[in-house]
Amino acid sequence: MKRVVWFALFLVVGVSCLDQPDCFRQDLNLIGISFRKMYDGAADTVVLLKVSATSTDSVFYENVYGATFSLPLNYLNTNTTFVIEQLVREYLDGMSQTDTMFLSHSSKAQFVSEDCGERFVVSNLQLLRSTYDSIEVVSATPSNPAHINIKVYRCPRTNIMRMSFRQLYMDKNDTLSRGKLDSRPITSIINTDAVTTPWLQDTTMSAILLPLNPNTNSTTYNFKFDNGDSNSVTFNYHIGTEQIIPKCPTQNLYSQLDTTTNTFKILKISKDSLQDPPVTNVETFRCPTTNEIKVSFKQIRGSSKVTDTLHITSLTTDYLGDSSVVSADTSAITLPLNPDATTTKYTFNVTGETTSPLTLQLKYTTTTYVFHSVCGTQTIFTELAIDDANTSFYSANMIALLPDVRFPSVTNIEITRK
Amino acid sequence: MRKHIYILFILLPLLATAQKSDTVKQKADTVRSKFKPTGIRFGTDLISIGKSQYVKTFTGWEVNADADIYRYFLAFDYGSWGRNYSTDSANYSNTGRYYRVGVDVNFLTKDPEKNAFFIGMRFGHSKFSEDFVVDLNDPIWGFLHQEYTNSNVKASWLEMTTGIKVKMWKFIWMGYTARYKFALSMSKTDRLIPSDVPGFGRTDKPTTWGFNYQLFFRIPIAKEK
Repeated sequence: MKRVVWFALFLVVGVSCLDQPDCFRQDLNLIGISFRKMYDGAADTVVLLKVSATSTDSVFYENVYGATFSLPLNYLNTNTTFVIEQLVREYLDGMSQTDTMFLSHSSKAQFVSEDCGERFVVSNLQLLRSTYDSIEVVSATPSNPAHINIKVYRCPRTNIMRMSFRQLYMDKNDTLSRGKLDSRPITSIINTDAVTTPWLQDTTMSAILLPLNPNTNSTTYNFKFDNGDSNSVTFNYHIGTEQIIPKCPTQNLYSQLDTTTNTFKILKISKDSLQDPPVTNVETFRCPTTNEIKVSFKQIRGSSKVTDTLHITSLTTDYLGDSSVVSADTSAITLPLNPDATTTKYTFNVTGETTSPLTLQLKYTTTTYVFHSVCGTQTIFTELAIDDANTSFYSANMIALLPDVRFPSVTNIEITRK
Repeated sequence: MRKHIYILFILLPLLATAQKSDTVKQKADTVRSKFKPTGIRFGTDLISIGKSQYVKTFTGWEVNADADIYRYFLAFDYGSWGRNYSTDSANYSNTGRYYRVGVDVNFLTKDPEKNAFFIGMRFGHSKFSEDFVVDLNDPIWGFLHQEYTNSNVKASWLEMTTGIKVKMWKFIWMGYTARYKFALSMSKTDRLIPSDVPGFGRTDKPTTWGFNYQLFFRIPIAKEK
């Protein structure tokens, strides 16, 4: 009996070890394409508008950016032709360039299991021809997931300049003399030589790449920002020619970059020659806003102070006169101070409160200071306090947290509902 | 593959040297009688028979034989193996014959009933054919109806084995053998990658396990010392 149990035990263990199919492998037909710069071999971030193949209606990529992409080879055939539409940054109108890549390969089938079905293993990848500047097959074996099989190299782009937006700060110690990068919501940027197609639209960026017109010695761009600002700048430059890389044709070299017309308040040429990859050639600066304070609303819940929400339908600032309709639940609001007076009164029309409108009057002292010479003399606000006599805000604790106005804004006034 | 065969033949003498210090002390005639086989066992794999009956996708059988030479067993297996799978998009079948040959080392040398707990190695070889019909609709590349065939594909591999053989009654032994199969090599194929090698198993992994549950009949050929 013992022997029977002994054998039965080992039989169960042994049978359980018999390998059962699992679908851990699939088709090995993916190739990786790496976009690179010819002069240093470094990865090149490209914008692919559309990637498709001639033998299918499928679109593999649309409006994506990156330096490496994976694509499936047609394992039912011995050829795959990819059509790659790419945004070319050199073009003034943001137009695309379409390249094709003709590939040959062989394919073998394999049955995997009843659960997993079949798979196809593609090998012997070869490039028949392509329209790229330079391209090479670095690995003939597709895989899954893809590794790099093909490297596509491009010639230098010589006509692209970089322009950055910077924000200056109220910085008495001058530790941020150049401010910081300023992410600006952009409505549109239009090159006047290609007005029908905006170069950029509805985006937020702190630095932009702008192509210069290779056919003339000046290029003008019109900027529209979300806050309503409109600016225009015309760049002048000298164009020379040189064969930079032996595999590439003779290319333009852009230098002596300067501006003739410019409506940005502060614009500085930081490097007057263009290079690839682009470095910052032009910087625009915004001066610090010195008269904005932030008011936050709080309430006491238990023993702690938490955020309170006020439904404001409209807000009137005395010196501005007009009433801005807020109509929003807000827990913090930024308010302007009158630089030509020592008090500013705000009237809040609110809903859901026992009293409306509510008023808040602030008093302060103004002086002047030069933070940045390019911005000139600016008014600064100190000794900020609540003028209780002219404030009718609901029964509340109002604290002037910070008597000095700063930029970027910090919470100066905290109003706590009891 | 050739490298692994070399390793197998290098390892076997090493196993033998484990007993060298004992054997050199024996007299020459005693040594000769010790290495004379005392019996031959013939058997079959019950799992293959059971699978052929109850598993629709498998047909096969396997016969086994071993002969004892002192603490070593010369082992030989011969079998037939066929698979038949059907999925929504494919039908696959294969059939072939295989053999395995090798040596086991018994660690129960003093057992009066000739029971064995062994570890060994095998060289396996198979010759088989496959048929594969694919009928699929790829969401990207479209329809495919294709028949693939491999004929007389040859494959070989190595195995490390372990198991027991226990005397159940008079001339009847039962045992199991667990097999760790590796170093598979196959002859080149055209458009179909072999999926299942008779005697080895699935090819999409570099190693695999096998298990036999065997019934043996022992024929004594010399009297026990």
